[in-house]
Amino acid sequence: MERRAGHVAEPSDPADDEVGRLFAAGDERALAWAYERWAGLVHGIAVRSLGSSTDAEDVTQQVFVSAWTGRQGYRPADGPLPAWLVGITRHRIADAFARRQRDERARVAALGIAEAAAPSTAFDRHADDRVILLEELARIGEPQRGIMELAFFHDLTHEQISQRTGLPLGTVKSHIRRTLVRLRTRLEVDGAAL
Amino acid sequence: MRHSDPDVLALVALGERPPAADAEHLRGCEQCRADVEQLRQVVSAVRVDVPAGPPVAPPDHVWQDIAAVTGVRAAPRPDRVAGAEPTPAPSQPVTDELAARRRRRPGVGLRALVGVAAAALVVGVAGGVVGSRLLDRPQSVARGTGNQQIVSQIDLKNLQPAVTDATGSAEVVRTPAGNRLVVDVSKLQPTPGHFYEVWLIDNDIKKMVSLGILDGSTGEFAIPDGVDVSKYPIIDISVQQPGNPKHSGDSVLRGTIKT
Repeated sequence: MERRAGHVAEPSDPADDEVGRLFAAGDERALAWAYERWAGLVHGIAVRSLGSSTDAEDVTQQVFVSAWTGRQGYRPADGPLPAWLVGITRHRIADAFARRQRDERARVAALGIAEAAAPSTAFDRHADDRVILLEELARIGEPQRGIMELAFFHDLTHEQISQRTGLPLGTVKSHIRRTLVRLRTRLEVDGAAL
Repeated sequence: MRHSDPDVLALVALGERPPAADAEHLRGCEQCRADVEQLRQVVSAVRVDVPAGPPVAPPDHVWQDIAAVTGVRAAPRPDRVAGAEPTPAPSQPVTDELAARRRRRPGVGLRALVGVAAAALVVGVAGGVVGSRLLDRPQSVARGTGNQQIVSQIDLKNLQPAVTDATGSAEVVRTPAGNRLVVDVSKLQPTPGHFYEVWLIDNDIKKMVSLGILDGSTGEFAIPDGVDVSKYPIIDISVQQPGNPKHSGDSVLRGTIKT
């Protein structure tokens, strides 16, 4: 029983790609390792985008929670785990901007101030459009929504999206075009009304 | 003039490079460029620029919230979180051998879970054997009496609750012949082709000492003289494959000796 007693091994934490594989497999330790290695990356992006605030902390929390609960959507063969986390981060930050803009609109409306006075409009000319577009995106069914998330926030080409989703190239291309046109139409209809 | 396929224009709006023929066409066709521009407004409103920069460690409560929502019990080591002060290099130790070994045996994933379930059936049938093994519990340590003293009692926490119900405890016993570790586990099912090994590990999870193989539900191990339990306070039980002298990285139970 003690034939190897005293044997000193040099253990170490798994390499990044191994953490990615364990993460996808649902090994809880991989979430902790991923946090050690990439929470700083995610939170750095969030803080630089949203300021050092509870918004940034919420984004960091949401990224790791949704990465973990949605881990079946991550396949290690498709790329490193931190790249996937950054894609989720970009989506959550866009959502946070849209939420701020909605809150700002509500505040302005409550005060009865003219829309033009809303300061964030000048700061981010896309803010109102983003509110409309992200709401519309959330209403779109699968597989279109997943495809657009990969295209918008993970910066994947249609070929990469086809590989990742298993959908034929032509299907991916036409989903992308039709969804962009749908979003554009939504913007033209509601953008003017806001 | 034949215009570009609208599918291609949508991809260009997203930032993809068009095929050469379409790139050539776009240079000369105002209408197609306008179509791209329409869709590009959608793309740039949805996308946010993420400024590059150094890592920033989130406040501690962010992890606590994540753990609360996910129910995950493993936890990051605060001093290892990239961006934490003082800024440590992200730990990227080379573990190719370990990684390769894991790839060969997909750890305690679903496949192993099935194996564990199958093994549990076998154990159920062979209950008599397990029972007699329990009766063989080492009695060489007369607990807390004479020259032998229990200096620490440790609960071993299940690191893989999704896979096994295993629980355990351990005691550090001081004897005239040196310190010994008595380990007592339950519901740690045998896994075909694998065995359980007991380790003492330092706080940095950098250095470790193998104490031996846990055969059955209890075991008593000599702690080598040169090994100070205050420097190697973590008791770890791992799933191992024959022929691998190193820790598999696949820990099932773990506890910390308080000194």
